Amino acid sequence: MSGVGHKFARLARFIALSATAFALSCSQPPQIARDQYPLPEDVEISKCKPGKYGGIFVLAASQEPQTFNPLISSDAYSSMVIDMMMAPLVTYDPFTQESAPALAKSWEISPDGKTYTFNLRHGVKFSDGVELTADDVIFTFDAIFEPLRGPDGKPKIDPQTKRPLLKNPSRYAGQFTIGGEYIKYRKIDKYRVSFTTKTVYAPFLTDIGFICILPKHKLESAVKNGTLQQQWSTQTAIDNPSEIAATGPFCIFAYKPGESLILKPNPHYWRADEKRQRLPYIDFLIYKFVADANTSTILFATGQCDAAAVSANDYAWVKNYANTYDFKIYERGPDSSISFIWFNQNPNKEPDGKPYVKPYKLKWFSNVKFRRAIMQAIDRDGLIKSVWFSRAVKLHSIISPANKKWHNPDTVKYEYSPETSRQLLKEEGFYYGSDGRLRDKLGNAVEFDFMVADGSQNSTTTATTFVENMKAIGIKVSLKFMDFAAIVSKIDDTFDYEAAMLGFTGGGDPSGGKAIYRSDGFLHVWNPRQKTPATDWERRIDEIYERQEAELDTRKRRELIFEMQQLFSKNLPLFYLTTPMSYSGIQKKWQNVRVPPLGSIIWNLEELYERD
Amino acid sequence: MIGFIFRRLCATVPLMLAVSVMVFLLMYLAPGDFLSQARSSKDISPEIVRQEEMRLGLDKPWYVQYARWLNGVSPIKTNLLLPENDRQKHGIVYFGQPDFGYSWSYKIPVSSLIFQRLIPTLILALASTLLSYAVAIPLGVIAAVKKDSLFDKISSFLAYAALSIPYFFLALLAVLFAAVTGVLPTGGQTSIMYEFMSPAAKLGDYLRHLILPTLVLSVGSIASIMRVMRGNFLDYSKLDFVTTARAKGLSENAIMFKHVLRNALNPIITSLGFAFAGLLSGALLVENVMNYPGLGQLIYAAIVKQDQYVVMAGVTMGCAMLIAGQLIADILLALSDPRIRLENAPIPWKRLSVFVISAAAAFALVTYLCQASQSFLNILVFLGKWGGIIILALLAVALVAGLAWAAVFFCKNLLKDIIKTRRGAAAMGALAAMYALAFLAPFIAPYEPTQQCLDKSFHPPTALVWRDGGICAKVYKNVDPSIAKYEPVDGQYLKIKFFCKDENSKYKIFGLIPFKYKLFQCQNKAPDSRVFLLGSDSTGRDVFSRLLYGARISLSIGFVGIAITMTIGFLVGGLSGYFGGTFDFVAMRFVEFLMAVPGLYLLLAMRSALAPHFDSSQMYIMIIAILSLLGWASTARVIRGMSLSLSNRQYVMAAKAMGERPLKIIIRHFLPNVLSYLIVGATLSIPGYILGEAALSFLGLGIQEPSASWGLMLSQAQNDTKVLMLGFWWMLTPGAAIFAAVLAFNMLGDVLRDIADPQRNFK
Repeated sequence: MSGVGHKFARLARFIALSATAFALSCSQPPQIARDQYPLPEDVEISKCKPGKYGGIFVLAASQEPQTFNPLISSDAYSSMVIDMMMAPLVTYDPFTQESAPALAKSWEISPDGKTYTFNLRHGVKFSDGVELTADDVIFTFDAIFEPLRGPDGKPKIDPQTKRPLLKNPSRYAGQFTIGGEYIKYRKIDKYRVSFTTKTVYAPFLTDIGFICILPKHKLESAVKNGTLQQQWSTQTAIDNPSEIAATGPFCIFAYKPGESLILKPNPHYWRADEKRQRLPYIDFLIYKFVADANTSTILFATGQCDAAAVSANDYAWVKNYANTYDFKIYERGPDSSISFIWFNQNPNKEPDGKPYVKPYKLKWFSNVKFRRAIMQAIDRDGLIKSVWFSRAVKLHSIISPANKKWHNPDTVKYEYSPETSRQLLKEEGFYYGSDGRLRDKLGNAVEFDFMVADGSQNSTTTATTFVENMKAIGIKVSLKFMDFAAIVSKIDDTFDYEAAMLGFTGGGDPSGGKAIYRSDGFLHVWNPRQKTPATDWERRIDEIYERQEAELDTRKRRELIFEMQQLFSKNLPLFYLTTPMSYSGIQKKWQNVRVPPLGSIIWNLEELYERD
Repeated sequence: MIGFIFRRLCATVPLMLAVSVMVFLLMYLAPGDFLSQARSSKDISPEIVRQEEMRLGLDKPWYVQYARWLNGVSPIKTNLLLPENDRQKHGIVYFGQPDFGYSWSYKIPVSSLIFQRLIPTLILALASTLLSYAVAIPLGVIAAVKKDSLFDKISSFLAYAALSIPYFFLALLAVLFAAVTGVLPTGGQTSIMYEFMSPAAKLGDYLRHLILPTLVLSVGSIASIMRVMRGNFLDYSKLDFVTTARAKGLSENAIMFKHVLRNALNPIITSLGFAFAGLLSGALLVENVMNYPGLGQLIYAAIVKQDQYVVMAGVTMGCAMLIAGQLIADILLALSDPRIRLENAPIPWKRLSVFVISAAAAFALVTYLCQASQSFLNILVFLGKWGGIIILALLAVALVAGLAWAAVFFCKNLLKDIIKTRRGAAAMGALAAMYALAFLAPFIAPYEPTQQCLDKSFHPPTALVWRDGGICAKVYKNVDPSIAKYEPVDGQYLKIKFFCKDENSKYKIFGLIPFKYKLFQCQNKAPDSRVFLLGSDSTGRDVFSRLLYGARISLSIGFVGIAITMTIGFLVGGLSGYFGGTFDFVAMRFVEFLMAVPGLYLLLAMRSALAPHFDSSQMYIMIIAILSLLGWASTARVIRGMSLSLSNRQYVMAAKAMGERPLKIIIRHFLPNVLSYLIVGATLSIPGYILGEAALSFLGLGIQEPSASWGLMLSQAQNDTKVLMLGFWWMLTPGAAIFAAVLAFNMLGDVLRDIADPQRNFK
């Protein structure tokens, strides 16, 4: 039987090979012209081993970019592609976890810590050959903060928040509102710009790294006539890819919606190797769009694409193909995302006077000992063993252990112990009825609805395990699957739920978590948008948050963030679940691969070259 | 003919309006909106969200949003609905290009977005329709002509098999096949190097990528068209005119191809129209699994993201395609069957206008009240929910009773005949066994379907051995937890005890008599001593137990659905074919309305609109009801096609002349004639519901955890790639169960068809 299977596989491989040979015989990628243009005056010389030009790098993407406009992209997939094409002033070095020069070759910080002056590289050009200067930087920030004007020319004001409306609404205006005011910026000369914040703001360099500099000569008219939002859309990439003037290593060669996006080297890129060969080495970068993450994993495992993030779930089988298809998988440690379950502790009422959460249930949910009992009844070890085949770790803090710089390893840890949780419940006056169900002092059976986003296999298994764990301590949990939009509207708008599960992507500077940490944040999910902090510990967290923003000393800032994590773990508003290990695979033929502690394995794609 | 076409085209305008209002309303009722994702991102401030809300017009009530959309689409526009800034540019009424709006997520005009995706979908649909008709019609004819030959048997067995595989599962297997062998591309429309190819190579590459999706899409329809074709052909070949022709000494070929084939093609031609409509929703699952960049994928994503204008444009397109398809079907039918008259009585404007005005008024009143007070909406939802459930329950009980009556009738008259045939006996036996297992699940299943064993995930099926005078299960050890590899431990066994008492069991026979016994269990009651007859799943739940409990849901779906579908379909189709005129006009417009909404999308929209108001279990009943209420429309249309031609038969005319009541004529004279279609249709539909449940679960709309159903279990196996790649084959047993049940139903239906044929006495 196996002999037959073997023969079949051999035949299939033969057919496949001849088909590929046929395909190759008539597919000749065009030559990429190299050394067309001289290197810029302030070229950055990479320390990587000099390689040779050529090769095609294929990546599978399970979703398509929705826009190529860096100002409006809000999804990870658009950002992933835009990052290949557009450069910010400063970038982030994944090894040192510090800011590193990009379009700005250096910067100075004023002694009061409020003014940052950036020195742009001289001679850097957009991919269409026009030089990038301070005017483009100013143009980009003007576009972000440009107010929306009514027919009378006066800025329009949001009737609810009394703040001016923006012509090009993006997340950045909010991000650069520091101390209640927009940051100030000005051009010093052709190659220098300075930014001033109202108060000291520690994560400023990180945040400025999110802004890709836009070409004024391409987009000025669009900002004037109010069509910036529609510029650089997918349609532009189809019809007229050269319109999208890049500053990153790549620019668009062709885009076929639903099929593939092909990037080619930016002929004006500002990095080169020690032999003064302009980067990147590869001829083409192809994003092949596939239906889902499973397909992209299959493509990688069968040698059809060059690099991929491999989930802990798939690692078990993908590694079996490593020798056949000559790739290597790196273990990257725990993932940077966090996932958690929480109880709705919102004490407010609906307009018609009905409380969001039934008062007797709210009493349970806001009792920290009750929450601790629940936490200790969740069998995370079991989940890790069964679902993840031991390729996951328990999460003990609101910041994942992957984020080594900010993760506090010494927060309170709650281990699985249903006995302890029964004990805790009894101490709080709960008792078990003759039917084995848990009841509170007043005799109410303890039960609650638990809403979970549908669609993900892992969240489903976690949820069913949670239900079984609760059953074991006499609590009845009814699972409610909902689509993501429904969950969001419940936690952000209608507040009519009892318990829920959600995950957030993590990594980066903790200042990104403002909306979760602060008591007035809208993602402070258990009790969002508080007017004044409901508890002392929440007040303390608000205080810490404010202080860390103004703290320039990283060591002291870390201490504050550590204290915040400790407060979260002690008071348990969220029951942290597990975080899987992450893996990245790449074909062995690629040289110069350096795997950073956090982030994408191809962060230095421009430096990769193909082995002979 | 031209007048007919013109009238039909005029009738489509209100139809499209009604569909678009309904879809828009459903989108509005669904919780959340396009900005939900933005609202939940930690780095987008609420002010930005509110500003976007105003920019997209999401802060306005739904009817204003709808009016704006309509104003954009219509060629005659008014400036009153434009944003303030643009109002001066146009007069109060002006003409303009139809504008389908902007896609919010792609930031480009919807029309160009749709156009990007329309061509691949059209090509795929055309290829698979052509392939299925080209293959199925000859096969069906040959099978009918050579009835009971080896060819007939093989082809009908293959047809059974093809119809019994959930086709998203087939697509998945095709992808796996392609991935492992590398013979054909795994998905997509072109290969990675397409951009760099010569034109000839591009064409070749394109065709190569079309092969698998076309095959996967065609397999099911080939089988079903073939079966219907064979059935029709057999029906017609027994009619009087064939005997006459034969008596006249006409050659067999001439009889078969000139006389029988032309008649037998009628229903097939009608279904061609629907095949056209199915372009949109039919390909969705395959497009999704095979990563084919078509319209289905686009609209599905748009519904999920609530990208309003894309959904509206997509659904309107689907609607237009369907209407065009039906028009084509009617014209083809008229051309192929000269007995059918297309010119009906003039449109009853007066009655129609009263109907339309009162419906619109009632709709407006309800909308106004809902806007005016939130509590009215709540009352409405409450009434709709419970009223709907009660009515549906009553309807279901009545129909099940009817079905039971029919079943008793069949048992009395037909059971003997069924058992006489080998196939019939096998199918009946298999079905009886499956239903018995499902009914007795709490007694037979050793564990609760939700009971986990986190130490033993993906445990392989336990081997049973005879030892110490009893059956024992081997004990396994997880030798490599990193890939869940288990090996039996030498010398360790678990004794199995039969008919053991289980105090915890809450099972009651018929929900009344408590029954505290289990068929078998481990003698050792330790929590980790477990016997997994069919292995365990990712949290160590017993697949065997879940399969039995899942059978209760999966096997009961078909009956409820089919009872509703067939009854309504037959009555409406029969009556409208019989009466023609007004009744036919109104009924068929209603059928078209139902069918004009691509079912899967309607289901998606309905589900997200209703989900917050219903429990998972109630939701499930809702979905069955929606499915079957949509499903009767197609039966009605086919029955109408048949009864149109029947109503011109002499015996029907004679009955009419004698003053028989219409209902009696329909039941007495039409029913026996269309019975074979109904039976073939019903047997083809019950599996459809079983497979439908699986498909719904695939999209996350079916039964939900922690309950079990076959579809849900299969979709779990399929979402987790490691199940297939590490060879946890027992996770695919629900697929085998679906296959077996569907196969048995198909076989039974076929046998029944041969028996219930009214002409069989003339043999």
